[in-house]
Amino acid sequence: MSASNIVVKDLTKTFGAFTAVNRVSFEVPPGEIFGFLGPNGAGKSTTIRMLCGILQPTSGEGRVGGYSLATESEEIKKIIGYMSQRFTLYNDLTVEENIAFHGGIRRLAPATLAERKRWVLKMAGLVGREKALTRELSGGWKQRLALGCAILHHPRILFLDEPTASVDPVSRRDFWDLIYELAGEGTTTFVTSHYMDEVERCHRIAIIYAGAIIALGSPRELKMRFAGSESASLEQVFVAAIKGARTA
Amino acid sequence: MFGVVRTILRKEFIQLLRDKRMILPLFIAPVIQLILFGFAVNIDIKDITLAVVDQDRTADSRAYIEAFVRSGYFEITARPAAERDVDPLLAAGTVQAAFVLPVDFGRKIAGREAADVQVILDGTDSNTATIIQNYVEMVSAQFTTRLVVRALGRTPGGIPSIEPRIWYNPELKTALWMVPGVICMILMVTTFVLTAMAITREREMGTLEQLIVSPIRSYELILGKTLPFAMIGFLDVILVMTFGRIVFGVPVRGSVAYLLAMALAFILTTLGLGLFISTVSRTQSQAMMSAFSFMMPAIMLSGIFTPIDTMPKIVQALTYLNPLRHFGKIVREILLKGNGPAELWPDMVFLLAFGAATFILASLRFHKRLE
Amino acid sequence: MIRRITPIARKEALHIRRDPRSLFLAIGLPMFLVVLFGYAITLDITHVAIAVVDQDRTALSREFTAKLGASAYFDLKLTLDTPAGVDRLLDEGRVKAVVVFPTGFARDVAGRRDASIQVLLDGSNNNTALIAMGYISRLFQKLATDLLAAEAGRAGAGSAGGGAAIAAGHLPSVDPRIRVWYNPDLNSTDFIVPGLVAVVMMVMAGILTSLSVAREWETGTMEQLIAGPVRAHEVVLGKLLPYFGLGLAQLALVVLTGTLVFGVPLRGNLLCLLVASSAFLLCGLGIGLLLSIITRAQQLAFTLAILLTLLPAFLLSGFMTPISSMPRLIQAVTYVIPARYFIAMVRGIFLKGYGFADVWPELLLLAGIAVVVLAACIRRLRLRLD
Repeated sequence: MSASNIVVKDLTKTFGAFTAVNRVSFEVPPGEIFGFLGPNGAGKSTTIRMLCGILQPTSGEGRVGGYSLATESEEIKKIIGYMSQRFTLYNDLTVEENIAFHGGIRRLAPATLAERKRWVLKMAGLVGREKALTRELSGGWKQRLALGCAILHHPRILFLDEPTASVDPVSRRDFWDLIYELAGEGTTTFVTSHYMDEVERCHRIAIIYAGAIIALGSPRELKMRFAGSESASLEQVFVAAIKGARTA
Repeated sequence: MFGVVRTILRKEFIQLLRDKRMILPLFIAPVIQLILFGFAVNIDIKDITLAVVDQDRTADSRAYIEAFVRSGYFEITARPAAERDVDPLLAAGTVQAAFVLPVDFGRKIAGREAADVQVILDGTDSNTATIIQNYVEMVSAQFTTRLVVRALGRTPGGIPSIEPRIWYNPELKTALWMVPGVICMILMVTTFVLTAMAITREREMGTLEQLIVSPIRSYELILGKTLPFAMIGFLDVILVMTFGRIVFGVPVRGSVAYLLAMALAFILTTLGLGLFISTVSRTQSQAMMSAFSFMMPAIMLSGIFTPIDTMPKIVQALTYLNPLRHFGKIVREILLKGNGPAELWPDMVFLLAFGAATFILASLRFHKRLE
Repeated sequence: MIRRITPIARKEALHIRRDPRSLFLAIGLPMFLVVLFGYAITLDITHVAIAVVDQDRTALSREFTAKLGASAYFDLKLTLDTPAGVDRLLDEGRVKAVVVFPTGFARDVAGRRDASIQVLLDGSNNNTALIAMGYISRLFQKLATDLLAAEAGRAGAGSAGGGAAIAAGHLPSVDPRIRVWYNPDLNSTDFIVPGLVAVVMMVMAGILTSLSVAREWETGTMEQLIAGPVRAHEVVLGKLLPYFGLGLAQLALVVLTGTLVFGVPLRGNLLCLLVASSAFLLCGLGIGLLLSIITRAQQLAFTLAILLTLLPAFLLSGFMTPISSMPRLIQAVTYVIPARYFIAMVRGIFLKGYGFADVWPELLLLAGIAVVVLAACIRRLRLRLD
């Protein structure tokens, strides 16, 4: 077991009488892109918060990068990167000010930061636009910049929260190319979403509904299992899975 | 730690000053407030509009009226013929006071009797009316003394007179009372209200979440977010004191270092309170409203603008809990009386204790909220 | 048009209602201010703490000291023999004035020489100092006159003719018979509370409205509004309506509390008060909204609102300090401040029994200002994304 995997067993979170996450279990090996799909209110954000170490689980156990969720949250924060399209960047800061900020927060040495900054600018295609206000960037650029800021410190594990929500298909494809590249280098990626198209590209998906995982497998497996055909759409899978869960 | 704090500090300043218009509330507004409070808030009596009905028109009646005019406080704007003509003038607010000297004024004086003067005051502005009332009594008494001296045919010596010596504010300038108050108010707005809004803004915009997920410690975040306003607040204090000195001649008789140290203690309080408000607010406007709701009573009950010793005893007791009361007193006495720790130590102790407690408690609460 | 204003107004009203803090600001804070000014804050200066230093220690100085102690205006804290420690008394603020009878005072009076009494005043608060000095001067003038009368009485006992008249205590004097109109007890509450209507409205108007549009720009909901078929004037009116209602509620609250709880007389025309308040309210709301529209930034709008609505209402309107005492330049500035006219109107209505006939010029002026400001709002609210 290398230290860039996620292992979760019977993870549960209750808020008073309400169970938000109900005995969720899965394993994400290093380098895998794992998708967490579910309707709003299903428990996605609660789960990801627990995995990021910012919410204490009520019961169950989990390890992110080898560190325990319950007791080593500070270590977890050091090795993960978090990107949320809406909330990672400061709109009233310029591109380079945002990069400098995130680098400073991560305590990167000036030389390292400078080098990473060059990399991010190139990766995001923002060379020459360092002084543009983030607010003025369109969806695709912002998304890549946000990703860049999230991985300045070379995290082994990446959490993406609805990363390509309002982005055009071309930009979305470019973004996922980047993710694949990172995965190829060994980065484990955990994506939460309620958009089918986003999750389509994951290696494996877990469908979460009412706090519990109702399906787990690669997109192809799930299509076979729930819709009977590999060319079915994930949407059909989704609907079928939920219907099944409801009648269970 | 310092690297992270510096990073956050830099971001805060960039955000704050990116909108160049923010220079206005941060640095120009304090000066404007100073000018407003220093000049506008004045109770110096001058240009009191007066109506005079002199039905006597003798040397004595004219001399009496002259005694008022000579003071420079009064301005005769109407000389109606009859007493009833005075009513509409007062009602419309055209005059603030009216004198009616009856036809037998001079005769009574010559006959060594008591002569009456009808004085009607517009009591709507009770403060001014009180001052006018005092003045009328005083001038009348002075005039009487002169009459008596004349009647007795004696030399004017041996009549006790008053020699006033005004301490701390020889010219009785309003500004000297106001400027310390303005300093306090400005610090309050900058370090309390703006801080609360700025921290809440992060929460409102959602970017706080990103910070939580990174390994920064709570105290780094707190320092990074409160230091900018502390620094700006400090600058404002110096700005206002300098302007106060130049424009209004507000002295600095005590130690500036001590004053700044006390400002620091006070800032600790306001930053703590601002931090606290940010933990109970979801949006900037909520933060602002909470801050304002706290600030206005605090200012009114601080003795900055209206003296505390005229308030009911219960209220006076309550004001001891108000850090603004203590800081206002400290600033004023350092500037005007040249007082120092020897005289001010009770207020100093309170400020330090309150400040430390507030900041620590608020930070703890902020830390908890972050989880 | 009404149909489109209603949902905007309703949404704004819901915002206000769901957010208890804005309600507190609009209702609770005004109540607090009324109670504060009605009960706690008084501008009336009585029981001034004083000390006497009697270096003379004669019957005369003791008599004067006794008169000082007996006066309701003063609170004689201590009598000292020497001036040592007087500095500390004033520095520590334990007394506001010290009256010093120098050695040989009575002798000088008897010998008809200059006899002056030193009065040391704490000038930090010039209002208090001025009034305290006024009381002291008054008292001593009377004492001086009494002295002369007594002296004349004694002298008269030994001479004939006119002396008899003097002996009987007949001396010329001028006695002012002072009557105070509208506020006979010189109650500062009656002076302040009517003015509070203005201050309270400005607090709410300036601050709440300044946030509303700026907030929508900052959170992005303005785009939603723009995307719909609403026109600028509908947005302006729709946003103002709930605050206008709140403002009238505040008026009712202040009037009721002021008259019922604090006994402030309301002698004038109630309808006139309503109309005047409405006009003033629109001015304030309009200014707040305009700031919000122009700045599009909450922090900025808020601080500007304080500067341009609340502070002028407090300081430049004659609320607590008379306009006539201000420097000429600033007096000129007050002419553009709506609160100035409104305070005069509202005081007149409460205390002087004003009606429409008395205030129509100011009323028209306020209405005019309101119209101009609202028109500016509508024009500046360009419903575009730039």
